[in-house]
Amino acid sequence: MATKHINIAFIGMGKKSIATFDFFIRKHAEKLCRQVNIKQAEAFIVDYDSSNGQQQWQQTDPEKKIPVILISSQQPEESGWLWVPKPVKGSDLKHAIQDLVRIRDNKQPTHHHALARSQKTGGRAEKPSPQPQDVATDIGKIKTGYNRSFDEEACAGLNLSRDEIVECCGKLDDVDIHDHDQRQSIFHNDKKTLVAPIQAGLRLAKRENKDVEIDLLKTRIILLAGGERIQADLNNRVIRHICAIPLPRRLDTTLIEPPTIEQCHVHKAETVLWQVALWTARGRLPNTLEPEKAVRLMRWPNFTRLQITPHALRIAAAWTQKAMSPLQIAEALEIPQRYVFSVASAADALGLFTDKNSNQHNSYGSWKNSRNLFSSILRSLRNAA
Amino acid sequence: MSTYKVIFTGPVGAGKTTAIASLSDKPPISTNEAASDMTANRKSETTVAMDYGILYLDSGDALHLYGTPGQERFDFMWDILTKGGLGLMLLLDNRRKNPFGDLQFYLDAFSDFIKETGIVIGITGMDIKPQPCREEYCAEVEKHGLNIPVLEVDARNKSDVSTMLEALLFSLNPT
Ligand SMILES: Nc1nc2c(ncn2[C@@H]2O[C@H](COP(=O)(O)OP(=O)(O)O)[C@@H](O)[C@H]2O)c(=O)[nH]1
Ligand SMILES: [Mg+2]
Repeated sequence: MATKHINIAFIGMGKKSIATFDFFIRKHAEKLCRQVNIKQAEAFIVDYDSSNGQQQWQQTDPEKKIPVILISSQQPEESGWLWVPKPVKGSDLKHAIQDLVRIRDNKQPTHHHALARSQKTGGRAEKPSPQPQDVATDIGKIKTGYNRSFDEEACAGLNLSRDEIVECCGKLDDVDIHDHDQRQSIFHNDKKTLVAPIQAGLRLAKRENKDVEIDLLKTRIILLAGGERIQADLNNRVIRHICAIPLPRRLDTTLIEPPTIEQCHVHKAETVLWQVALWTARGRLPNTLEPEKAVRLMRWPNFTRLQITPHALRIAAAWTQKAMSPLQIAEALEIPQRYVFSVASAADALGLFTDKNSNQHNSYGSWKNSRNLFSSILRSLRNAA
Repeated sequence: MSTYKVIFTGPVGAGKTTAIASLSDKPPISTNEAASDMTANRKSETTVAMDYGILYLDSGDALHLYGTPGQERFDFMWDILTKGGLGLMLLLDNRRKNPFGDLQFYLDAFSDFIKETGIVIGITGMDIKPQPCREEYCAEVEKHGLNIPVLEVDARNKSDVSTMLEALLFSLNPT
């Protein structure tokens, strides 16, 4: 195309927007147009949504003789102008500018006066707009295979020391599930732990909309009315301590009248329950979960406010995409079973499992081989943490 | 050396600039560096109004962090900005009037990119305004047939933003 470029001015836009448009022009439409000031302009690009866009356009060109591209979220009522819908697509804008040039040169615009976003380029043969070459676009191209201990990496960047990880997730080696004794070793009985009374207490606090107390001798735990929050002096150490000791009996939950407790911390119920479940399980499964049964996470746990254990995010990612058994997860991710059992116990305590499969388009087969890149990003994130 | 990028988007005030600054190895900038990166083979430097940060990787590669530019949610050039991106970090501000409207808008505006890559949602401002709660966002997202990470995030907290990015990467590939 040996056409002369068209001089364009922007109307009704702030500095930031103009800079972005100018960047686009330089990068993708350099041969087509230049940005100039309003007086020198042969055409305008008007932000039709901005309050002063329409006004300024009217003042600058009251007779509306100069060709314009209107940019707006809704198609403008005024017809006869080139229109590009928001959010602006680069290709739409480029087509509209090409049409401005054709209008200036007294040719018929080829892209019609309203450019629907879905509309593809018309009959005219046209090269696709150049694409940034500096960014690797295909993560599938990244080399596969990795040869460093992922376990080492998984423990880095957590707010748990190595000892605490062992304390939290246990030391249990992977078991042969067909061996009866080994199979038994992976379970704990959740009825004798703090998990069940907290769950029951939260249900009660929600149903009755009243505070509920769990009688734990030295530590008072108040489940606040509504069942969303827990008031107690429960730091991690206390929780670990309580969970490590087998409870002598089933704990009672009692409705109480507020206010009964001196100032102490209020925690999210979810955070406490997750924590208690982790430290109770210590890398085992509650006997209500079967290691061979496929289940799926209905929702991602709120990991920014929950204790993250080794591989927890990978486990959640796999488990939200597809129904799999705890053993299958460990196998698919090539990680120790105890880490899967830990997350399973905590997620189960929060009621996050379903046995229905997902209808999401994301599936196992489409996971891209980008492990090297991702591990490298994770190391950077964690080293700097 | 390869370069990769992640896109941060969301309404004004949701914490894009702050989140990028939390992660970036260099003081984040909104202008020249980004322009010179994206226009590597150009002589003249352009000034572009977008947030930009960089995370250096031990492999020698770099992860570029881009924030969508603009003053308001009807913005432009998102298709160009997202090209080649690994995935989308959507920040929503719980303090805004209609955060579910924002959610809907961004899921629609980036639907193609989300389909091809992945997305994680971070809800900011929950320390100031706890309602609607995270579960309500999850329910909204599920209406779109998505089961994606939805996390409570404070953009000023590096570990929150970092967890958000990890969740994105793992949902792209957990193995
Ligand atoms: N209280 C609170 N402030 C936040 C949170 N996240 C970000 N901010 C603040 O919100 C303001 C707007 O953030 P900014 O990064 O400029 O938003 P942007 O417009 O998306 O780039 C800044 O002052 C941040 O420090 C949050 O979770 N809670
Ligand atoms: Mg900003």
